[in-house]
Amino acid sequence: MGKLEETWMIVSVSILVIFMAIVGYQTFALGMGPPSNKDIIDPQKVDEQAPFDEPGVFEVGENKYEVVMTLETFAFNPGDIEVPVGAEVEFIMTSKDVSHGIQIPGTNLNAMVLPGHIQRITQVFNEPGEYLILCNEYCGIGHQAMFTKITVK
Amino acid sequence: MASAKKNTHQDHSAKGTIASVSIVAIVIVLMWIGVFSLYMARI
Repeated sequence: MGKLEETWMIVSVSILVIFMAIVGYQTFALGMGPPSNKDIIDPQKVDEQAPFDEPGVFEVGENKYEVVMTLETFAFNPGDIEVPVGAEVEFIMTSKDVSHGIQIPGTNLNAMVLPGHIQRITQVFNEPGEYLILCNEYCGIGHQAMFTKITVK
Repeated sequence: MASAKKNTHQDHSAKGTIASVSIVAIVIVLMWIGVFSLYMARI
């Protein structure tokens, strides 16, 4: 193998190893992995089961909030959400019918919400304002109308 | 014959190749840094 070939082999392997080390550290040490909650639920009995029998925004600790949310064609329940600036907000979500998605543009919050599965994502909103919440998984004829907002103040 | 082939291969200059793979490497690294910074800015 030539000297130059050795060089690019070493450089390319190093790039891969460095990328994996950074992403691995983020995921396992800092808890920044992609949303991967494993809880399951009967999608036909969402309304009868806690916590989804009472969707809403709950203060669960100092500057900590929980948003228990159900997604269905073509709405988020609860609709208008309000949380204070800098609060840690955990979204606990499930779908009552088909596959939905949740995305808040301008943040890292972006995940699928599938029937039968409970999804959890935590997000801190450091900037006050109104954020758009939208479904980014095609869910039917009214998909484009499936959005709501979250007010941070 | 086999050794002659090997020598021919060694005689080729790899400078053009390393220049092109380096450009690809820079593009990959810059894209990765871009996506990483975007993610960190939105935390």
